[in-house]
Amino acid sequence: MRQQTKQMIEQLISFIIYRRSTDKDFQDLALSLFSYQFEYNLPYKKYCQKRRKTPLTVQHWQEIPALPIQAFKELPLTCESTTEPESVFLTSGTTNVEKRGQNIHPTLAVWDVSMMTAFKQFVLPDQQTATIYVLSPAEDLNQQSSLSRYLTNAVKHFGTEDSRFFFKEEGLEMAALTAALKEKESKREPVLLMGASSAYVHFIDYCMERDLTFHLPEGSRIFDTGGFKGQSRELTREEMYESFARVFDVDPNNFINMYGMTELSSQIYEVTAQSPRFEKVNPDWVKTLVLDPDTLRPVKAGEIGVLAHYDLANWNSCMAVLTEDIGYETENGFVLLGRVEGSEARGCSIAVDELMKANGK
Amino acid sequence: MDLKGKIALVTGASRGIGAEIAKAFGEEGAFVIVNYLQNEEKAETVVDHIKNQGGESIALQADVTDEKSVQDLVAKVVDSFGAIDVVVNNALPSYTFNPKTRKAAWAMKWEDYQKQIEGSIGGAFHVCKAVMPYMKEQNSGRIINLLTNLIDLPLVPYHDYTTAKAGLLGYSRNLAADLGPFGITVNCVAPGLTYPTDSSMETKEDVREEIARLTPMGKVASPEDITGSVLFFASDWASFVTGQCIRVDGGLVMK
Amino acid sequence: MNKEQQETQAYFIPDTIQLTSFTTREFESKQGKLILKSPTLSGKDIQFITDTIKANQKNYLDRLQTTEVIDIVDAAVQKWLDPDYHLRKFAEKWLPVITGYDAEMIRLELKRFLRTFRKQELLRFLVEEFDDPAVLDDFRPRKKGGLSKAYGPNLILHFFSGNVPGLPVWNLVMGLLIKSGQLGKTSSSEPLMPVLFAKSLEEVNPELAKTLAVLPWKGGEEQLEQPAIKAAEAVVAYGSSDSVENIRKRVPAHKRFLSYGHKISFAMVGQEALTVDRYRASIHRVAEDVSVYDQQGCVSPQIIYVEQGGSVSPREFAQLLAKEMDHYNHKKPRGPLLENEALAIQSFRSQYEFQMESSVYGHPADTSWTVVYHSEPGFEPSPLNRAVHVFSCTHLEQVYPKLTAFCQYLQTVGVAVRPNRLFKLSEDLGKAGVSRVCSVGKMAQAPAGWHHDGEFNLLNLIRWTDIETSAERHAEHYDEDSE
Repeated sequence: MRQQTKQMIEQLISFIIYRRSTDKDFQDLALSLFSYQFEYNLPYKKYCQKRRKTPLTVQHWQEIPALPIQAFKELPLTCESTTEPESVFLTSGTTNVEKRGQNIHPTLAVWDVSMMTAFKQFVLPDQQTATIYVLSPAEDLNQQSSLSRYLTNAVKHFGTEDSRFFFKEEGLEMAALTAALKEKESKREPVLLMGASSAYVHFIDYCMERDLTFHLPEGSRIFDTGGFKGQSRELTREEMYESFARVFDVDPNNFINMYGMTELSSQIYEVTAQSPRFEKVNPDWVKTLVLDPDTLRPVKAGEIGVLAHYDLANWNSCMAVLTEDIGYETENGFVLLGRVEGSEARGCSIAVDELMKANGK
Repeated sequence: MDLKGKIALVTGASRGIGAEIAKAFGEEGAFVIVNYLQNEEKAETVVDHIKNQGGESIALQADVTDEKSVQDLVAKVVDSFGAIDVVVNNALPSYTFNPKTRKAAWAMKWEDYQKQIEGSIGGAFHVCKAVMPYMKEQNSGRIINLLTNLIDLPLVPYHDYTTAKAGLLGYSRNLAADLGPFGITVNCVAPGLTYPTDSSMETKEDVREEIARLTPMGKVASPEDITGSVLFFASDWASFVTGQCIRVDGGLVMK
Repeated sequence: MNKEQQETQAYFIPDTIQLTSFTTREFESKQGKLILKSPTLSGKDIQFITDTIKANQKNYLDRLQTTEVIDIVDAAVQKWLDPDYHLRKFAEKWLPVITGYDAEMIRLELKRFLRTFRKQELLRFLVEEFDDPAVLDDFRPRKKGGLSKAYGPNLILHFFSGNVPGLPVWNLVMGLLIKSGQLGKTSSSEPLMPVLFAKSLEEVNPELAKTLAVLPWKGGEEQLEQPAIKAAEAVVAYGSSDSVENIRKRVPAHKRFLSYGHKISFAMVGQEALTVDRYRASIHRVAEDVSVYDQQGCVSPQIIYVEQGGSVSPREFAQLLAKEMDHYNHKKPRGPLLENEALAIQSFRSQYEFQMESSVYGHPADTSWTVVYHSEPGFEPSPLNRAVHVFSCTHLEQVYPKLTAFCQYLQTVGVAVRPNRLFKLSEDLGKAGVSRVCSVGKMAQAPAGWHHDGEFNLLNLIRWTDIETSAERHAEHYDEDSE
């Protein structure tokens, strides 16, 4: 690992840990990380040069070109070339299994610090540990999943002894989870449930079929993340929260939704107790821009556009990532409106999806 | 005039008009490639000057009359900077501009012409040929060729030099016709006698005075006088101008 | 300038019918506000309207000669060809606001389109499908003996398309030629033009206009569509495979059902069209085809196959096409897009920008045009709104294997090839499922009498009655004056 990289990592970690959060600090570090990535990430350099954006012409972090997520599918994006990275996280690749996006992490040092600092801030601001029950696979079952790393970290660093993973090789152990929850219920001990949204949907369906409901003790929290991606029936956020309240009897103020992407190295949180409903809030080292989908320039405050995240922790691939999610800016963060569906043709020209279906893709 | 971040290549930019053009691009925020043939030291001086002003620049050696050398140069520029937005063909074959020792028409040899055609048109040709694929790919580009006002008014008839430059004008206009559809413009700047430069050192006071007397603006050009027109052709202001030639000679030639 | 406010009906019904309840839709632009007034309909209303139309069809339209109908349509079309005609001015003013298309483009294309419905074109259209168009008026003798007469449906129910302004006029004219009463459901994206054309017909001949109704409602509204389908003898539907299928399954098997589903079109440019003296004209034509109506028509190319060996390479073709589309966009800017449409183009660009074998040429500041070059032939749809693929091929013939999976979707192919290739190429394209081969530059301008999606237009709607020779002969027996 080159010396410059080591220094960069040190700088990033101290920024995250000490949470020095002036805009000027973010700006300075973003520009220096941009110079670093421009120098060492060749495909990204080409992408920027084509747009005549270089460390010399970029004066403000908002001018740093955001790299579309497709690039993570097509190219190896890495500043520090290493044959044995600590981790390579892959996207779930529901649309095309052959082309999964990848984010290469020569070391997870920054990733882990980012995860834990934000987890403490948003999920457990008022306590050191919690009993964590996890509905999704742990790291040992899915090494390529950033979510699994996240969940394992949470249990390792914030879980009490009795924390458990309920997702085994055969899938989610619903009966065991039910029994464990019932036990907590009777002992009046609060629990932190964590898992992918789709995992909850399966469990909620399981409970509804059996007329099962819980009255989780006060202080219990429900943490979910991610979309459904064809893995379960789809629920809106309202429906999701309604189901949580109905099945677990947990106050909506104890719901936490985490927004993460394989292409990033940090997570963004929606904490109902801390901010208005559906507002997602960034940790200090992540900033989100809402861009006009036509011009990719920032929209006026409050207008709907496509989201670009600037995540300082994403030091090896690319700090600035252009998503296909739309949303709008709010006072403390943004509201996510979801992923954009394929373009629905206005005309009688065939829509892309219809044609792809014909081709069996 | 927004040349910020534009990649500009100036050939023969270690000295004289070329060096001034390179500096002018640097001042406007362009990334300047200072091409030189022999004088690395002087080229680096130009680069340093630009950097000291807060600009960005590098010096690259290439012989514009050598096809291979030029292709390598352009490939290197695009590889390093990702694009090439502006090319200024300023390099010219070595020539002594001495009104007293110049050859008369009857003393000219065909080889004299050949040498100038090879240097002036050939040099520009190789550079243009090399940048074309990249500029086409970008859907934009600016080519600016340096001529002389002697093609209109041979006050001192440097036969071979001026004939070649007149040929370069023809070449430029034809090029403009074929490259226009790709969004590439080709224009020319034709300076009058420009002093002081290495080329004009031997043009003595008396001739300079005479030219200044005939010139409406009352003086001969200095290298800095030339740069404005070159920048104009490179700028957005000239986005719909192609196949043109501006005389920069204080009004000596009016056309 | 004072902002103008205009209100107009977004429906047309026989003037004997009164509707009482309405809603409005508003469109705002720099020049003012348009209020479109639409009726709130019930199943009963539909039944009453269709009964009225059918009665008027029987009592008036059915008794006209086809040539008389043609004269009426021609008179209405002639009005539209006058730049000062009040309804044309109204359409030219408000259609751009409703559809988002460039005003100049609408002006030009609407005029071109309506020209295809003048008397001579209508006559040609009839002859195209009937050896003897008089069969629509009377029993006419057949070559092998006997006589035949053609009957159009007493009522056609149309589900109009909304992508290209004016297209429903084609359906209305088609219905009139076979003397059918008609009820058309407009699309919310273009609810105006069929109403205006019905008004023109009313100006020319109020009686004939009483056989027409044009109404807006939300597609799939069962309580309106059920009585409409029940009343109609034939149903004509435009839309995606899904929406067409949705209508088809509600139409009883004994009724005529014509559908025009979503299609894909492309262009093929041979090296002979890319010689140094011709390439600019060829590229100019292709740019027109791609840009007109923002590529929303099913006749708009989404793919251009370019043959190697010309004076410009397929890659240079793509570069030049991008510039031509830029010029077109300066003249006739593309309409504004919804977020998902713009993002689809951004995503389209990103998808190919990072692939080695393709290059992306797009407007640097926005999504107004995009050309994606591929070094090997393939078949990929585009997100439309002036985004197109250019595939390089060594020979145009290389393309056929790429088409096989898409047979049912192929429609128009714009070609630029020399005469001795045209037939072979068309033959092969026909086999692949293509229904129309035309010149590049003319893809958007299908002639009135074309085999739309490879089928007859009028013949598929009419039914025949034959008088056989035996009946003729036998009838002679009963002639009291027979010798």
